[in-house]
Amino acid sequence: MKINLKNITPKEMIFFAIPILLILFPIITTDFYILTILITANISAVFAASWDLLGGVTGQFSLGHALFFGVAAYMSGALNLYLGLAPWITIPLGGAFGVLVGFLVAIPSLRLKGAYFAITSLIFPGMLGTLILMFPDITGGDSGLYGLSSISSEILITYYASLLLMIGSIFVLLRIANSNMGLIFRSIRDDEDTAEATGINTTKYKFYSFAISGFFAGIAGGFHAHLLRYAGPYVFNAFYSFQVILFAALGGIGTIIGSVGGAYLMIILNEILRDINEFRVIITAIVMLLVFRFLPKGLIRQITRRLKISLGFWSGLKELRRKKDESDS
Amino acid sequence: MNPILETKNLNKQFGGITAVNKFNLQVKEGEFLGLIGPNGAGKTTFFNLITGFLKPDYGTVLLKGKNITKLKPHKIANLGMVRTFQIIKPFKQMLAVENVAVACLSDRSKKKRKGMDIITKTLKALRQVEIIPPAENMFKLASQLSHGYTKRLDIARALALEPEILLLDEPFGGLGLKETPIMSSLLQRLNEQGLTIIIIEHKMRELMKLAQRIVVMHFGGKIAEGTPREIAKNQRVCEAYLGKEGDELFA
Repeated sequence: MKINLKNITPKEMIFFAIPILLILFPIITTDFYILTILITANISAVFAASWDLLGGVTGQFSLGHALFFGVAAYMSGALNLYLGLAPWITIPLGGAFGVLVGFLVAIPSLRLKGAYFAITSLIFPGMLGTLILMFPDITGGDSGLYGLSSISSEILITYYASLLLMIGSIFVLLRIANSNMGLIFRSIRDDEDTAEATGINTTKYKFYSFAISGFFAGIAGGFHAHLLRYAGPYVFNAFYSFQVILFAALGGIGTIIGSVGGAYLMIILNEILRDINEFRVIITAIVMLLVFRFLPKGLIRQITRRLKISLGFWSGLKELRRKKDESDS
Repeated sequence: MNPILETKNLNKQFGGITAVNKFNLQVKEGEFLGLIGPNGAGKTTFFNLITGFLKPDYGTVLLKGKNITKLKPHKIANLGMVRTFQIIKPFKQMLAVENVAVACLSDRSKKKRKGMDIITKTLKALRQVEIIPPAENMFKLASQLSHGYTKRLDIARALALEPEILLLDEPFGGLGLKETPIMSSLLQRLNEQGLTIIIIEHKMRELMKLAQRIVVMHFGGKIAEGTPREIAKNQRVCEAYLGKEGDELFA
């Protein structure tokens, strides 16, 4: 992408300020506990953004996104444990398995639309969770795979690795969402029949969306497994599937970048409230209700509207405006 | 001359109801054909059958001599037969221009206008339906536009595919007094430029002016076929659909 600094308005600088702040954050503290929270937030942001491309941009409302996360976590873990591959190889390979699983899940989505697909997608992680328990020799059964290599013995390196992963993934996903392919994805979300009547091979593009989403969810899953040095049946928990939707919805569904805001907000809030554990769920619920009541389109949409920044739109739009103005005058 | 579109023995049953009954139709290139009939006569089902949205029980659809009966909708659109829907379904959460830009990303548009970038193609299609003048609407979400504007936007989306046959399902439905003549002259102009148009319509006054030939459907079959004047005088058509004084349409 050509980043022309002259075209960036001061307001848009905010979006560049956030990654810079995160890069400089360890100057303030290198506390193991705080950095681990931020690492978790980074991974969750990638996971949520991958859901957003599929659910928010392409309209395939998956309620079982933990499937990609879980399969990749186990695959990265197994490759590391049995073949001795290093995390920087197993994590992308986990993403590759996410792509494979994405293709498999895409098949029912071709026939099932809307709520019917959502309900069906709910089943897959549960199915795989059960399957895992049936082969304890390979999967470790209930206790899972443990003793995986950590990403780095230095927490600071792990932090920067997660940050690089997050910024890189968000950048790529955002580029896809705003590209011509993203435009097609959004047309499928808005009306599949009209897209088909417009000469768009909706089957093909749905497969693309599932594959891309599966890849990034898989990378997040692999990273998570290596961070904890453990992959257990918990990864298929429905909680993970719902959590990513929550992150994306808080930030703004279909914006990709909103997932980062949502993930950071919820994970940091969750940690702050750890001391008053009894009230944690209720306070989290109140925050969610307030956001959905007053900012139904998500935090990021509200911010960008205030600042008059267009976000989540097709990249050809600027060019189109310019050409139109030219022909008008 | 060979027909551009031909259906042979086209049949579709829904349970015990025969929606389209062994329907035969030939459409010549450049023709403006009207398809009329009472509600439930099978007109929209016929559109769905020839555009691949429904599969016929038996019978064939030939587009320029090529059998397209079993093709998927997007393949048929890319072959040059493009449709609109009765209840228009724009991409609601997308801007008006984006609605048209999607069509410019189709295989047909890429092939037909090599070397022309998608922006230019989008603007061209919008100009064709004279949507450009109220420019501020171009950058509005499709869900915020007026009904008449959305109808023209839908046609712009279809035109961006450079179709050879345009299938319109009630393009005048819900249009106001101001918008009706705009749509009428737009369709007239497109037909004069050589575009074959098949139109399902209930607004007889508009249809009688535009169509060169009218086919009347009733219970899935064809009960009459002819010029607008012949149809208006046809006894069976008057009984089934137009009412007794079909002739008044020309008054």
